[in-house]
Amino acid sequence: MKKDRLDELLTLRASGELSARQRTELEGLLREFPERGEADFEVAAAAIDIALHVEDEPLPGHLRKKVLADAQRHFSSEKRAHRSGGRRPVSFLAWGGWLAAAAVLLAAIGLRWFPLDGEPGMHRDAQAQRTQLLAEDPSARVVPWTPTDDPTSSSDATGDVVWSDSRQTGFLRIAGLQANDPGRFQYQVWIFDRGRDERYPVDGGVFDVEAGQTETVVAIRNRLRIGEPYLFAVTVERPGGVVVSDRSRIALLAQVGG
Amino acid sequence: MNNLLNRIAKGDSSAVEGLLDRYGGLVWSIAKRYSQVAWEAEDAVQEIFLQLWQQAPKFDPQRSSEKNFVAMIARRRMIDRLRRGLNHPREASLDELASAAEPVVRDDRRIEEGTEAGLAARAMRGLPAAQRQALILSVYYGYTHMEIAQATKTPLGTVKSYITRGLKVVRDALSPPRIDGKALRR
Repeated sequence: MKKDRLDELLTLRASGELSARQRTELEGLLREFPERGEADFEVAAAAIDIALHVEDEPLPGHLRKKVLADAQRHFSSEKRAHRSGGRRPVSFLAWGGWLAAAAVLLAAIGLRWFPLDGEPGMHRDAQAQRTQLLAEDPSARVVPWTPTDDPTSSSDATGDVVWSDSRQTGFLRIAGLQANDPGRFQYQVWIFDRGRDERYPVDGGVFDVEAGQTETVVAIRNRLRIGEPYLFAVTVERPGGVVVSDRSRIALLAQVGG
Repeated sequence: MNNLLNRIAKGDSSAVEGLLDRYGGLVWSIAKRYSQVAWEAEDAVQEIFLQLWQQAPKFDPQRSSEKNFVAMIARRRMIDRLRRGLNHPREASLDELASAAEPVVRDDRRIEEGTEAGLAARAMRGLPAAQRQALILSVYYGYTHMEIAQATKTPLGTVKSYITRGLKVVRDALSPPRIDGKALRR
């Protein structure tokens, strides 16, 4: 009976139907029957996929370059970890954590946060970190943006917020938002947390959108812990950002569960 | 074993280009099938390959072929993206419903006999048409059981049963006999 149930749960997993409760049940049964080929149904599903697959389309050249760059980063960090005695590689996320700590320090000594993501190298890193976060944290939330009628926000502005509660980190991905002159105004991200007063959302940092950039990926730099985010907002603010936004210009909104 | 994934598992980064040459098109095609817009597919491809570098040590050539392992990781990620709302939601199209009801493989010679795909195709040809359709909509197109039930106007319990039993039939067609719980070398 238990083995039948295990098979049933494995077929549900192979077709992407496993609930959180069933996942826990599955883990328990797999511990009980470790000899069971836990990937057999996924192997079967993959074989069906290949059987039905008509023809491969070549991987686009620019995407191949991105994948190769990802691979280079991955293997370099593996090698560094190996040289340092086999510890787990220091991930980009850990580096993001260091940045967050640095932000707290800067705030403590009275300096404004500065928009690191304006640098092209940082954009690439944020993109890689976002990819890694999605790959590593299956519970990370993904919330799509909704454009507003602010002049900076075109009706086809799109993208999403990826946020990990457990890692307290997240990323904005935005396309279709007007490029800004950092000397005139900057974008600022805010996180609304159910555990906090709605009037004082948590500052997630300022960022710029460069002209000619089709997509911007920005790391959220929250200085405070977020308990339960329910809304992310991007506002248009004076250069350097503000401590409390008057919310007169809201460019994008992303409502959790909206 | 001197396959690409085993080399990658040992940290041989020179195998990366080979893996991209051999399976880049497969991964891209799977990602595109599950995606509504190009950037979703491109994001997904990067995630899939990152997973492949990380999961390479788990590849066991006695349990599946390299191609099947790559497709398995790709499917897993794409379904995960769909369920987490990373990809735009889709509605089951009439075209997909119609083609899912057609014979599984139109050109049998295209699939090498004895491969996992060949065994899977043969097993699926033996399934009743309605069951095969539900299985294809789930496994190949990534629709949820509920979406399939609504699109095909079939009770949800029946859809679940079709897919569960269908996957078991294909699994059994692929699985080598077992002794003491251990798979025999294929």
